[in-house]
Amino acid sequence: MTLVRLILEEIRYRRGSFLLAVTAVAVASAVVLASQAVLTCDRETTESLLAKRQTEVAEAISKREAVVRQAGAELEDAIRKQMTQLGFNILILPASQDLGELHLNGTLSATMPAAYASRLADSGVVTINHLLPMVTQRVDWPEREIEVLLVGTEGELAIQGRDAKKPLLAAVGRGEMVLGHGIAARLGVAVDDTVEFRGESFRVAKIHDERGSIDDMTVWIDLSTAQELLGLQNLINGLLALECGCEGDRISEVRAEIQTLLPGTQVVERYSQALTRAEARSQAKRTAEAALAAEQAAGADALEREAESRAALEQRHAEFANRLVPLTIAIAAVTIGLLAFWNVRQRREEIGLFRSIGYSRLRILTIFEVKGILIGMLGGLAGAGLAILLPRFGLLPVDTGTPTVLGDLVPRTTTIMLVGAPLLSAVSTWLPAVWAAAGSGGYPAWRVNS
Amino acid sequence: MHLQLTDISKTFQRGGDSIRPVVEASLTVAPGELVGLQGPSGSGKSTLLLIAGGLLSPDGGSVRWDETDPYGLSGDARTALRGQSIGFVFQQFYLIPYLSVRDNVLAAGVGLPIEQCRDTADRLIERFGLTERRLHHPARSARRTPARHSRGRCCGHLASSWPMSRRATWMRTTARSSCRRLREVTESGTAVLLVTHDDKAVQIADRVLRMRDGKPL
Repeated sequence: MTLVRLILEEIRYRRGSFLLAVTAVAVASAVVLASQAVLTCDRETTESLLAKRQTEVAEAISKREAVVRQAGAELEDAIRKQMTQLGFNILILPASQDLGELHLNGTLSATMPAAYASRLADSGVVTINHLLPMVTQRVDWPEREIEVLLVGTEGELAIQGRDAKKPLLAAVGRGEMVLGHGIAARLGVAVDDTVEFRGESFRVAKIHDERGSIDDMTVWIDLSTAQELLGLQNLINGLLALECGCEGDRISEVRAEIQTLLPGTQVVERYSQALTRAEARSQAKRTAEAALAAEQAAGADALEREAESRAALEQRHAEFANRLVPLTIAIAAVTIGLLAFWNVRQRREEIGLFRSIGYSRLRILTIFEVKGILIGMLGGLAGAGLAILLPRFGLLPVDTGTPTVLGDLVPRTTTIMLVGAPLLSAVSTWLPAVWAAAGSGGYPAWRVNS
Repeated sequence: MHLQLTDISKTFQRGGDSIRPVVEASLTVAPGELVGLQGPSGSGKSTLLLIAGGLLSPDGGSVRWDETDPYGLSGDARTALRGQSIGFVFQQFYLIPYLSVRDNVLAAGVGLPIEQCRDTADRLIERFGLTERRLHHPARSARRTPARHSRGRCCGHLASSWPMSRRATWMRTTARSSCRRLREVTESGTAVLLVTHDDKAVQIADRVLRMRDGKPL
């Protein structure tokens, strides 16, 4: 009769209380493992969510950057065009031109060689983006008995060594005419109408919208025709320099560069438009950057809120687990201890008999402790099974099949099965076992009944 | 074994009262001798039996198992010596309910070589005619039918009979079959102390003592 057989037979005989003790350990083990699985799952979900969120924010910012760049470009382009409609930015005039005539009448009378335009374009001037040679005079339109400002232009000249830029002003084709809104309204002409001007026939290619400026009374034709009509062959009244790359006081650098390349000229900045344009461009840039920064800040803020929200959830789960796990372990320990005490009470006669026929205290202690360890191991095994199976039946909101959770669960399960649960059960059984070995066991069996 | 009790006294405290069931009692049982001990309930028979069996420490006097004072040994040493040298035949069955007939007998063989235990157990089972039922659980059977109850009782005594092959047996019983068996074991030199109410049971004893005023007279 071995001790193990004695223990196993007793377990089989009192299997109800044994199963109850195993269940207590199983529940405690399952709670420990499930709590750990929930916390691990929380961490994994948080990392996954934050990574996904980070990607979304990065994509949103990337899209926003594109939108901002586009918006900035559109804003800049719109401002640039508005600036051209306000008037010339820089006007290169012959040095002999009386600026009073320009300011008082809006007309120019002095001339300079038309070759100045090509000379400037070929020089690779760096401070000018758009260059338009032109002639202009205030003239009568005899066929219509009206006074207009005639402007002859051949469109923009390409500046050497510079990438082609989108032209601010389109060239007027030969035989075509562009009219200001006021003239068209007064004459009652429309686009594609043919009109006679100083003996020449022109097709109306375009009519500008009302601008509320001298432009409303301006007629644009091609440069060479205008030169012929005005008797200014190979001469021009000035060069329009648009869209200068000048900011702040760099207008003085433009003036110095132009006068070096075209001696005998003067550079007029009208209404500080270059500065205004530069400021507008800077403002557009700042607006775009501010929008992008706002998007980045919003993304970072959203990420931070998400992280805080997840951290709070994890904290709540951890606090709950920190209370639940010790409570469950304590309940299991008390249950095992009470069942062991009950078992000793039930077996007092048996223990007395064992003691009277020569069983030592250590042997009696061993009988109860081995049973306790067995309860712990089986309870740990059952608890591990519960912790793994509960999520499969939807009773626990975690996925114990993921590599991270499994990687965390397996070593903990092994530890709990081999060490934790048997230790818990052995410790809980200790006092009843000692009581059996030293107290109840020492009491003669037949006196128990007397 | 030669059992010698000299001037044994024992006092129990129950509530505020002191009870002295044994007062300066002396008793000797020689090897091969069967001594009967009788007396009314509460006269101190069982207390004296416990003290003689090394299960209850006396307040005064001395106990000798041959030349050994069992109460001079440590608890475990006394338990081991008791397991090897002394057997008890109980009045009640004290069967271990979850063990079979054979395992109940084997459980008493602690400290002995396993093969010897099995041989002795099988021999005892055969002598009591329970070989076919050696794997039955007597305690469970005893609860079911009177017939099985009698078999259970028999098995209980069978289990308790194990120590009869030892050198001394302290017995508190009225079972006549056990009494007859006791007579047999004294032939091998075993000292037997029989405590009983049954006048017929003590007829097999070499001498009979009666407990009076805490002393066997």
